[in-house]
Amino acid sequence: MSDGKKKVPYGFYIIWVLSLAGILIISTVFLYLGLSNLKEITGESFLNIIMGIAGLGIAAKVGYDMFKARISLKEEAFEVLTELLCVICGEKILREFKEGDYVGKVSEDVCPKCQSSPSIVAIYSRTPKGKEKRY
Amino acid sequence: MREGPISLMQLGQSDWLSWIFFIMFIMMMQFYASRLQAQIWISEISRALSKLEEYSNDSARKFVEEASKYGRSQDEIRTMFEKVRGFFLIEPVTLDPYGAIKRMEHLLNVMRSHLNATMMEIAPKADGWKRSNLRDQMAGALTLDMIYRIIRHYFILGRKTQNLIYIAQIQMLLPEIMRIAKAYWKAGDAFRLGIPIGDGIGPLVALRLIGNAEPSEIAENILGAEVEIEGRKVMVVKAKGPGSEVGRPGLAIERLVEGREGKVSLIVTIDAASKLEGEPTAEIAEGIGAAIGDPGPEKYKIEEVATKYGIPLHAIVIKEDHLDAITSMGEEIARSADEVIKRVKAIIGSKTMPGDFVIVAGIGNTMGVGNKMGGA
Repeated sequence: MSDGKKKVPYGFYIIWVLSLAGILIISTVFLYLGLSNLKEITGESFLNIIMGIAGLGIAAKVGYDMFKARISLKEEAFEVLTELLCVICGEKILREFKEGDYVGKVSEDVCPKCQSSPSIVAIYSRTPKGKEKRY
Repeated sequence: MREGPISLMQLGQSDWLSWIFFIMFIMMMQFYASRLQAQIWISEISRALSKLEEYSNDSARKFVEEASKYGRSQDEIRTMFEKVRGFFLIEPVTLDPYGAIKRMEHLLNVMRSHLNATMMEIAPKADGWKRSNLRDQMAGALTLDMIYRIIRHYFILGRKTQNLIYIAQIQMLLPEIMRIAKAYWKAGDAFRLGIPIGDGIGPLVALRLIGNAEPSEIAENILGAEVEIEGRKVMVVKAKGPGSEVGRPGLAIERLVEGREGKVSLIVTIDAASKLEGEPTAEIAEGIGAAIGDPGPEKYKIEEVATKYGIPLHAIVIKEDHLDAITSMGEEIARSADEVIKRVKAIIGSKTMPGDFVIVAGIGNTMGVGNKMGGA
């Protein structure tokens, strides 16, 4: 099944990327201030290091949220297959589902072995390998 | 103070200014943290709401497009669809529970007839099979519309009142709500194309048991075919396919048992059942009782007639996520049919004697599943 292209809210990503960049810059400045005075540790440099690390943590969380949101906007692809069985020779055929197929129907397909008409024995969906998550 | 290239703490020239900023920050957080949290949640709900609207509009659009192939223009169908939006069923009063099942059955019958008549108006040129698929495709679109309306209600209410409780409730339920909405949205494609859904495993097993036997109609949209399994006469019952139907299996079983004056040795029901998180999909479980997930009347009929004649009731369920049940049937669920058939045969072999009469009912939506192998 092919899913139609979905509108992606780019404005939302731009705001997120800008905040991420802002947090990264500020926390790097704090870290620099803290680390550049490591030789003479004062309360102030210690506070700068803590704020820098906290900022990087927040940046990581914002980045992760953005990544997650991107994933949830993507629609997972899955394929629907029709399984046919030739009652004469026992040949199994697997093909893509076609509208009008139903289990039990004698298909218009031709058995590649004995040229008779196989019956549909199953119809099911399958996610392509590597995209197993369905929801 | 140290001597460094830059120091943010030195921007105010003295420490007291830093302290003022720090205390102001703490005070602001004290008073506005909950508001800030509410704003973050509101923006999350807002994004989810746009997605829900997209799902709802998309499924309504697909329904209108599909229905317009059967005798009406898209504008006419859109107008009719607008009239059906917000359709509801008021459950019978249970303050006095006497007769509640009968009243519920009556309401369900009326609802079914009403929806079928509506569909007849919307798609006059569709055959019965296509019309039932369209009816359930429309039901999915209506459900999505209802989900969207409910979330929008709480979103507006929460934004208006800035009440953290309204906002928190909906925000915490969002992942599950979105999962359900997405499943209904995906289900639209299955109903449009007539692909079997997870709930159809019961009818699929019944079809495999029926094989080439000739089925006949026993009750409204329910067929039955007699086959022989391990020397027993087995009446296999399923909804009439391959359109989207569940039929009235309770009524069918009641008629069969009453028609034989109770001379039935065993009733086996097969249905899809909700799995618990952690349980594998398509796990098969056996139990006692009537495996049927209707609002009540059909299950009541099976239990009632089985109790009246003392007939054992066995159930086989195929575990699946309740969202798998409404979307196209997964491979592992379809493959479980063979194992279920083995279990049915084992139950019949161990609980009855050769020559006994047994009823096996494959419960569920039979969309994409025919009535006999090698024919409709």
